[in-house]
Amino acid sequence: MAGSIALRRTTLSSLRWFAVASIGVLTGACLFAGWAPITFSVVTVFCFAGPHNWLEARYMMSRMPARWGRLRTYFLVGMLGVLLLASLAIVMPHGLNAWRASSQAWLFGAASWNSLLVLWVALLAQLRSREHPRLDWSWVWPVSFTVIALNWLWPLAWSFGLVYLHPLVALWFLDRELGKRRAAWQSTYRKCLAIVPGLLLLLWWRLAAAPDLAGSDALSLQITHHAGGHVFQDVSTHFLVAAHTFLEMIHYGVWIVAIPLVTGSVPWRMHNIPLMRRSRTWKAVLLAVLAGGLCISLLLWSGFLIDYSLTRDIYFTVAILHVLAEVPFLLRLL
Amino acid sequence: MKTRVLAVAMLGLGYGLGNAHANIGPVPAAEKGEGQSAKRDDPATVRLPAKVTMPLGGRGQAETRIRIPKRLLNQINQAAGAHHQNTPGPLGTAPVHTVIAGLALSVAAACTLLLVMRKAIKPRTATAAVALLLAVGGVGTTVANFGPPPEQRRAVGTVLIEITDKGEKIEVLVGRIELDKK
Repeated sequence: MAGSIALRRTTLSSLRWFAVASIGVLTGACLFAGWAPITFSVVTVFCFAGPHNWLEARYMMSRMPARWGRLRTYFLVGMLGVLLLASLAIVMPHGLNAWRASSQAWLFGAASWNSLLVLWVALLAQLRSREHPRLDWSWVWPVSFTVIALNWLWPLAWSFGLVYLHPLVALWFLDRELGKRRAAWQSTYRKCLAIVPGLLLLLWWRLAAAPDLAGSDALSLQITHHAGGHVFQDVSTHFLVAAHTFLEMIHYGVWIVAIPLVTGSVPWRMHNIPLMRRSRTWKAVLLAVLAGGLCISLLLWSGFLIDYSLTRDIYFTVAILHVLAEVPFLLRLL
Repeated sequence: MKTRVLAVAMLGLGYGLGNAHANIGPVPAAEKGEGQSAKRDDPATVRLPAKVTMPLGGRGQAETRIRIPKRLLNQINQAAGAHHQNTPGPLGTAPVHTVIAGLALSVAAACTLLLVMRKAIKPRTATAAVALLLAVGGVGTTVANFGPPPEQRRAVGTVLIEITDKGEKIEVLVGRIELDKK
């Protein structure tokens, strides 16, 4: 009896800490992003971009079963889609530049890539739905084709929607993990999440009509461009950069702190990666990938110190890989 | 039977939604018949710091002046150069986008129809779904076929552009405005 009361008290106390920490991080990120968006963006990308990708890769490895069995088609479609779409996203801008393509051709390219992405996600959802008898996702095709239609009408809005929505996918991962591992925390977490739209509205209220960001240097323009300053021309760039940086910070916080905390996995202990047990070759490959990832993180830091702007550009071009890789794993969690 | 219904639905919606032109404004007279998209006249844009001085109480200079510091001129030239490279190519016809969007919408509608037919859905739900689909389709078709918005009233006159060595911002000194009576 006393033991159960003590356990309940410990749970309540950790739950309270979790809520306080979540609200603190969200509010702090919002304040810093609104106050000094460019500086905050520079600092957060410098500190967290590499580590968060490494931890994300580590998480995905632990979610991949040792033997694929019936999931073979699902994972093959997932991996091939990631490689194909990422290669296209990286190569297409260079090709269009070399071809001296018109702005309409750029829009056509963007809309085509977005359509391929939607079809790939729909196919994965269909495969996932077949694998799980209780899931009925037959509505995925009508919805996907409607999304494709909207994408063809407003391709750039769709592309930038992806830029702003991708950070929120991390929150979805965290919600699913909480549901599986710490169900008692899930409702508190969802209540904490309710302040995210509130904070975004606060940023909008304070900054939507504010003067554009003053910096006219290459880095400021690059960050403004990344947040869609050239697309949403009626909205202050101060708001756009602040909102994007705020969401990015949430994304980094979830992958670096929250998910490792909730899953209880220590990143350097490899025992919870099922693929490691498959064979020695797989073990060697995975260890090489993780070691390579660490080297890339160190290289990123060095690159940021030498030429921040160029490294940031390269990073955000290649980062599409992790954006895409999240899709098959998120669908598996649903 | 199902296939025929689907074919009719796809054709109907595909035509209704796919024939709509993108809202690209009036085609300039000089370009009509050249087989080029009207997007050709889109301005090159670059966002730069500026200071605007408006005339107060009928005072102010007769002519509007734009003072551009030389250091900003480079950025303007770059934007203009980049825009020049981006003149429409063979794919640069905006209606292609709306036709593809229309086809995608018709496939979405056909998939919805197939879903409704395949599942034993209650007649009331099916009626509501079809009514919703028709309403959305009707509104979409009407909105997509709207013409371009009327042109805004414009002021006429000349503008004096000065390129200066001084200053950090573009200065716009608005002169006395006379509205275009056309």
